Amino acid sequence: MTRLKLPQFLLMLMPPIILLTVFTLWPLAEVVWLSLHNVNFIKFDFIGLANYYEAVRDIAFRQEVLNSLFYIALLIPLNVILSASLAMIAYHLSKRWQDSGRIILYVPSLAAGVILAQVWKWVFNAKGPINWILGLLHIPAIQWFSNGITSIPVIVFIVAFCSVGSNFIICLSSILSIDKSIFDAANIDGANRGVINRQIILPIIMPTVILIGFMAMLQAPAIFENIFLLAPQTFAGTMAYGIYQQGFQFGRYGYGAAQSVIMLVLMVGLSVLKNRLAK
Amino acid sequence: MRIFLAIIFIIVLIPFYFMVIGSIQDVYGIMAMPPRLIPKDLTIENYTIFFGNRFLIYTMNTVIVASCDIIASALVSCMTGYCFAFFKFPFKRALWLLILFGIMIPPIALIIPKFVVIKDIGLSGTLAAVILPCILAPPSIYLARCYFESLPFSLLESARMDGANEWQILTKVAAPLSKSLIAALLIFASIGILNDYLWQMLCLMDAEKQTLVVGLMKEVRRSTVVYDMKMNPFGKSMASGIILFIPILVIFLFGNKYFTSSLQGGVKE
Repeated sequence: MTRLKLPQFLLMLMPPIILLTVFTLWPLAEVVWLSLHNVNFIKFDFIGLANYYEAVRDIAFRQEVLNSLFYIALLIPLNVILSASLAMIAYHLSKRWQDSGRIILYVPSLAAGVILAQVWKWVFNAKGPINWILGLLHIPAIQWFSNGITSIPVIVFIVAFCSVGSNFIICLSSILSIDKSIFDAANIDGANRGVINRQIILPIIMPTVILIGFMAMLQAPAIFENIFLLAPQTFAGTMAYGIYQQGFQFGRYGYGAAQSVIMLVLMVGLSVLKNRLAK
Repeated sequence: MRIFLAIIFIIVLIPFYFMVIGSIQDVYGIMAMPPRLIPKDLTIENYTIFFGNRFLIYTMNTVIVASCDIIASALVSCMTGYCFAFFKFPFKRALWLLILFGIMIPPIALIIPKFVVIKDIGLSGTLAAVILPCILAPPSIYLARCYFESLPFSLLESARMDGANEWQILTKVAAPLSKSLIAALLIFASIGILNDYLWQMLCLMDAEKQTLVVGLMKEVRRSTVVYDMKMNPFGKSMASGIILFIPILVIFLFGNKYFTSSLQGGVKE
């Protein structure tokens, strides 16, 4: 480790420091400052903690917090099970399968959000293919995005569909880094694939799996674009959607900022808790 | 197991297939149930509404925004990751924790204050408002640091002995060894900027300044607000999706040779 000289320091580290200050630290200070004010297009009045008080009592905000928990509860298992099981399946196949898995499963991540939402709009429309399949099974057509009970699971599916690729890559590389002699020993002892998967691979990649679950937990309350494009209603909204609505539809920057602060505190709290648990 | 994985691959690709054939069919073809697997009655009218007089402006803006952001972001991430991997400097740990903090917080939680800050420094409505906040990408910096730390340190040290300065070491020694890292950074940055609908929609109100994703979504919303089935809203949506997807797919396919290996952290001595 050498010491960085001053001119090099200025050249290489000044851009990130300036960007970090202007677009992360300043907004962090600004969000707290805004949250203590009643801000709209003409006013800027100090009102103390009234915005937070309003958030606690706001039915829509409560609904969005509950929805966020609902999203978390569905997204974590879906992400974890999909990526871990696909990675285990791919591990036992040839390298060609693994490589094509890395490419094909990653393609939806490229089109996450706006692009794929254009197809889901059609897939889940009232006369769309999903309802047609249900019709074959004599189940009446469902208006997928007209209530929270159906739209939240559908959006969770859409989000998981787009994040399975990168999680699969992480899981697979973690399995591939396991020492091969362990598997040889297990094979000599006559362990079959199921036993190897459950008793050897799963415990070893557990930290990775927990990491994926944790990322899903941070991701879920921030789901926005799919909700905005497919089911822009409070019944399906996350905290992110509430922030957008208050800030940019109703023009209430102060109240939106208070919701942002609550969301930030929850997210950072969860991260710190996770780090404590990991140690 | 092979068959199961193959079925999963097909399921993953099906939406893209339907997006392609949906975008070139008329409304009867799209709404026909069972869904047609082979398109009939091809039409390009779904695309033509997008190729209006503004399409060129949107494309130009997108090219400007994307190229500035992708290059700047990859450069900044490389430089920062390089400094963190090989040097001591004051407040290193504090700065690193701040960058990690940037990974933890979802961007949308800071979108209101960011919008206000952009207004305060007088950038609102300009393309710079879209480019500048996206340049600093904490996950990319993290990836770059991890990657550089796995490079053989002795190699850089011997270049330093030969009298190369840090900038030369980064560009002439470290960068050629890091093609997969750079490909990954470019791909992440391009996905980030070309898909970033919300922020661009908020910043770019002026039609002359809008990027493709904002402009096309505006058209799509115009054709779905009426919800006249004869307007073929689904076909137009899917056509816009295809137009938005092509640049990302092209970048991915170009970078893919290098890309997947960097996520596995494989560096050879």
